[in-house]
Amino acid sequence: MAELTLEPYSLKQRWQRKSGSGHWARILSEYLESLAQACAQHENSLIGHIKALALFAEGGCLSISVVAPGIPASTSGKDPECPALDLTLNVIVYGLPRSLLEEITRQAAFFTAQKWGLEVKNISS
Amino acid sequence: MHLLLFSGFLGSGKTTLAVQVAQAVVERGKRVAILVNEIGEAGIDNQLMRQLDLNVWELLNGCICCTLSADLVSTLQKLDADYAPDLVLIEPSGAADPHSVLHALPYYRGRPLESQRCVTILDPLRLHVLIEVMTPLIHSQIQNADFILIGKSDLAQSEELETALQIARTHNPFVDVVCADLTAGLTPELLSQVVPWLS
Repeated sequence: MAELTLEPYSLKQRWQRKSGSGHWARILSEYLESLAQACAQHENSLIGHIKALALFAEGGCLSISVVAPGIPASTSGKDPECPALDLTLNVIVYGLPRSLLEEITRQAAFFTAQKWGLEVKNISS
Repeated sequence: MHLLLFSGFLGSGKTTLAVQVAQAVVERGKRVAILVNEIGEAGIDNQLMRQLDLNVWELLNGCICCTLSADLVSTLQKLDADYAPDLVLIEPSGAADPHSVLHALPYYRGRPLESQRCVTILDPLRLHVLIEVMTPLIHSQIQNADFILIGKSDLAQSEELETALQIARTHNPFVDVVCADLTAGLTPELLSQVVPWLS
């Protein structure tokens, strides 16, 4: 395989419940797993690490990590019943340009939010 | 001051092990400092470690094994002078070559290091792919290890663990290699293998 380029993509998002319910660990795992699936569909890509840290307003954190599309996300930390969280996300994928990672992330966030009745906003990228 | 370098590709479990080791050493009344260098603009490991009340220093804007090697040495000296830790734990990014990090350490001019150890964590689920695609990096991570931990033993098939063991032993036949499931916590045996001076 030719040498793979690496253009990491990072951003911060605020996730907020509108109408839905569901455990944050499950929702965010699904989000990162769908990101991994989408990245892996592109030829000559290699997922380094897709990882995120959710900070809850009430205190505590939840970390979520995905390394390959076929491997379930791993999570550790708290999973409290709370209405909102701030998420820091690092998408480290070899072989895909940052602009594509940005678009893949935007779509994955949109579909995850829609499915679970959530609102997601980028705080910074 | 003891120094522990964690090496391993992205997502192999370095942060999990670093947190567990740091917490175990702190519980034994020792001062621990963690130096983190991450890929990506948003530091996640340092935020997580701060949430867990660990003492973390972040090396920003570059890679610890190339552009930041001088920063690593100066940060170590500053840590030694200002904080005097018993253990400094270095967690480079998974793309860092441990050889370059270890190569920078002789330039450190603080209290002499009582011990220096490189622990490499391998991901058995992906090692067979990574060794094909990231060959020099993975070879270096294995060859520079003083101890090799094959993680995710709860997720890996026995063939994957066997392949990882073979790869580790082929490229570094001189060190202990252990399989473990870090999500189950750090056993006393594993802690003493990672931090032998503690016992």
